[in-house]
Amino acid sequence: MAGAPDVSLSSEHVQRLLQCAVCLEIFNQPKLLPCQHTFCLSPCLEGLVEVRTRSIRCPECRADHFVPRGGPGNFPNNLTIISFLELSARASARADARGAVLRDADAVVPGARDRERPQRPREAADGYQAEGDEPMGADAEAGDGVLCCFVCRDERSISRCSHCDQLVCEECRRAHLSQVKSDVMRMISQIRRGLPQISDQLIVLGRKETQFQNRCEEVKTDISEVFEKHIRDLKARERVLQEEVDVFIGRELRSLRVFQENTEMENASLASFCDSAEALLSLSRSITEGDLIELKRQCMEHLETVQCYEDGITRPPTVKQIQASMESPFLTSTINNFGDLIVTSRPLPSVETSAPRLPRVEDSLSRLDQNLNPDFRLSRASVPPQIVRPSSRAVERVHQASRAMSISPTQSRRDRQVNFDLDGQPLEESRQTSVPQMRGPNRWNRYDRRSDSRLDEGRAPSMLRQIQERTRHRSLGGIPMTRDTLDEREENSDTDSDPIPSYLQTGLQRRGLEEDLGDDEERMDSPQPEASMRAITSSGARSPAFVPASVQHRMTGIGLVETQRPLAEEAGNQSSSNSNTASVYVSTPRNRYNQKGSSVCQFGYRGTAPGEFTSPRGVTASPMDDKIYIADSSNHRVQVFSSRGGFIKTFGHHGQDEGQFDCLAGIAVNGLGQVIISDRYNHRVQIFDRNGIFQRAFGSEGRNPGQLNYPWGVACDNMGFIYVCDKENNRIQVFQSNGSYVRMFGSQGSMPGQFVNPHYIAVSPDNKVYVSDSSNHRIQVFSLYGDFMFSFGSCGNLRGQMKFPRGIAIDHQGFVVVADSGNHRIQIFRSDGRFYSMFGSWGSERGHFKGLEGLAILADGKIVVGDRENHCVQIF
Amino acid sequence: MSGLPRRIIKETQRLMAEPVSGITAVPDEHNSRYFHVVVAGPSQSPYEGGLFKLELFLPEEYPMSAPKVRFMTKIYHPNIDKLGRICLDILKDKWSPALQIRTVLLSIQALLSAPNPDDPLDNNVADHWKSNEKSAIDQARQWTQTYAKSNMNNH
Repeated sequence: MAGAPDVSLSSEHVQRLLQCAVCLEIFNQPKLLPCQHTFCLSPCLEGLVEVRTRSIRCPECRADHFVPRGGPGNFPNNLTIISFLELSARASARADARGAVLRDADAVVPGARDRERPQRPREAADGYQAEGDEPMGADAEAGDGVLCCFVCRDERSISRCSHCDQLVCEECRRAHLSQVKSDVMRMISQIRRGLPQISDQLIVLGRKETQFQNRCEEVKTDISEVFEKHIRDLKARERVLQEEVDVFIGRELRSLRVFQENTEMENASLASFCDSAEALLSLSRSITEGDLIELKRQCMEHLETVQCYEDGITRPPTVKQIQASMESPFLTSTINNFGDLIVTSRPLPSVETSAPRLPRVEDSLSRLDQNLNPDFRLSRASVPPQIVRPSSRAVERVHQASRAMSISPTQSRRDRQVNFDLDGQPLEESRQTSVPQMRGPNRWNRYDRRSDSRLDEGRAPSMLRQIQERTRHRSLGGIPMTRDTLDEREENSDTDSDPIPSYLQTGLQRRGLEEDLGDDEERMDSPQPEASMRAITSSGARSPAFVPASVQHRMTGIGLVETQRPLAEEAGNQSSSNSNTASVYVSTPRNRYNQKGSSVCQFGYRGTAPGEFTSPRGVTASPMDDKIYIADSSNHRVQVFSSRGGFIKTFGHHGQDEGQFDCLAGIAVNGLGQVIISDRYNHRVQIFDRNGIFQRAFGSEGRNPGQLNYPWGVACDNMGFIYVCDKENNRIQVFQSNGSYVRMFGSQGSMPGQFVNPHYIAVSPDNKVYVSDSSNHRIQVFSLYGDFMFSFGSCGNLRGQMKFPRGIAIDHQGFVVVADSGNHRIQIFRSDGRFYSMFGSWGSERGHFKGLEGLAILADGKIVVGDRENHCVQIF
Repeated sequence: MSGLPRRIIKETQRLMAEPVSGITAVPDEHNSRYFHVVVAGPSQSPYEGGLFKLELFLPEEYPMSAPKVRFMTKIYHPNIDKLGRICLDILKDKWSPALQIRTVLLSIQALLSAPNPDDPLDNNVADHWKSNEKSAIDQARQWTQTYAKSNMNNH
């Protein structure tokens, strides 16, 4: 029956032939009745048996048949149907898997077939569907029954296409294969087009390898340079100490010799006196009474002298003991911990080098051993480690400086001179040994000092000496200068007519020294002295007492050379206040930005409950208590967290009234703890006190001065002025803290000083205004008065480039942290806009971002990041 | 209705998917074994232009026993009585499980085209048909106009 010529061979018809007419299901145990009609054994035929007559009537033709012994099961099987069923077993299994609906051929949906064979290239299928007169859904059903081409339904020379698993005739196969071939060609050309990218990658890889090797070589060179330098320093120090010992020996020997000569003379004169007196007496010539009395007086005198020797009143000068104190635990630990290699998987900022970091002595003594020479040092547990490469330039400078300071002949001469000057005073060595000294001036000392002051007149400025002297005091043994040494030094200063009253002037002195040494070239090419250098000198000024290691002492000297203009300012500040404010002229951040990248804390997720966010935008940290304020924009409220992410409180809700918000964006906290919030859709700025109580609001929608149009970021300078990014008006407006309008700057455009959608704003410690000019893909920097200074960044995803920068924050050293929202990363720049480091990428995991918004920096240098699309806040 | 045999479900689906021309059969929304049927009068018959409403019920034994079918619309036909009962062999002794709702309704439609007064159910009509076929046909046409032409809500 399958071959009946007048029956259409569509799958539907074939399928129908495999159905039992009674149950309308695929045949189950098909039994052939004598009338040649076939039905399922169960339940169809069994239900039709007329038990009484043991007959059965064919449902099709109504012919009555005798039921064989044993029941209708003994009707013969319809082997044709069974073999057809076996042929389509696979298809049936598939249909079973798909469910009953699809097992019914009539219910086959064309689309279902395509879904079932996703591996077939869609375009090829489409091409064939256009040719076929039936939808694709029907084709595979041919596999269940009659073999025919799925394209033209031809039954000749059918074979299975290995490509799309379809039955296809010879002719169509050719067309089909040519189609496949053209597909393959297309893919090949695609691959070819992609090849250059791969070879580019290879080139980049090769370049990277070279870079990497070069960098390693540089690191090695730097290491050996630094070590050689330190070795030279140590050698120089060794020479200085040995010279001092020589000087000490000479001085002591000289005084001993003088005493010896004196004593010999005394001895000789006493002996001759005795001789002459005896001779006089033995002459037995009458001695005049007066002579005798005189003789006796002389005898008494000499006797007294002898008595003096006997009683120890006159005795040789005490030989001072000398002892080298090389005990310096700091130095030892410094050497032991000196230099670590930091390896990072992050691409190294190739242009970025960090100058050797020198110790900061403002830290307490107890922390000294940790802080000593942090260059090449890293916390032993630091993960991920990074390479800190000292800039060779800096090293070179160090070399020059160290040569200038410690090796030049003038220097050693000065050293000697100072030694003379200190003659008779408590030298550090003798102090160390606690030997009692002759405090009273003797003539030798007096002579030396006179000669010294004479010598001094023709020599280098005495402040040099003074510094030299002080550094010696510090460097030898790390003993703080005591009150009496200070007094004595001042006494000397008086004789030198060079009063230098206090350490607070050291900055100036050093500046003088620096000018002496004349490092003009350095001043020209490095407008920003190295931070570490500054740190050491300023620390020297702040806490002069503790500079323990001689190496460090040398570095102090280096610092003198390195530190330039700001030092004078610094010195001026120092004299008036001992505050810890740092100069912004730094290049090495205190915050280890290049070790950031994995978030130390993440809190919040989408929601409206306390501690949950919906599109958090602005983020700020209170300078008063380090609390984190989040502008929970779409929840129309401010949430306050501790610096560790613990929820504290929330205030505000949706509305237009005082203290209510409509999609607030920017947030800032001023020095008084007041919270300044840009209420974006209400076109105003609101101010709250630190408890979240509304204080005032200002601004309204418009374009006039003082009016706002979707204000976004806000910031405060240290005088309390409020800077508002008036986003849609493309300008920055400045208000007093009471809300009265002060000035504005900027207009729409891409020229310097113009904006397109300025989003966030920050004021740096040195009073520069940084604006994220978002749609111009740059950061612009202005003076407080709105004068354009410079800008940095351009559109792109390379280092230093940015796409739609948003949040911006500036640390106390002037490093600028930018939320590069289009590239889903945080970038850190130096205050002058040079790229420093970056981290982060797209995603919803920790350390990844989806919609960067606000940024803030906590007091300990951690970066707080608001992620609008992940609805959370992360801390790095 | 739970426990509805798969055959009924499939038949219903197929009736919906592939309606027979001139016949609509819609299961009652509360009873899947009860169908509201409308059969159009076949062309070139006295019932042409009429829409005849029927009810069809599938008994528990279906398909082993025939469905129960009845005309709801008055019709003048020798094999259909005034209560709408139909004299059709396949609905009685000639029922076969191989028949379906579709085939039953097609048979009924065919019965309208070919009245069989020799096997009458309504003797009056059958007599009328035998005695004066033309008059009977006119009568039938008249009834069709009267009962099967207007909107179905009358019945």
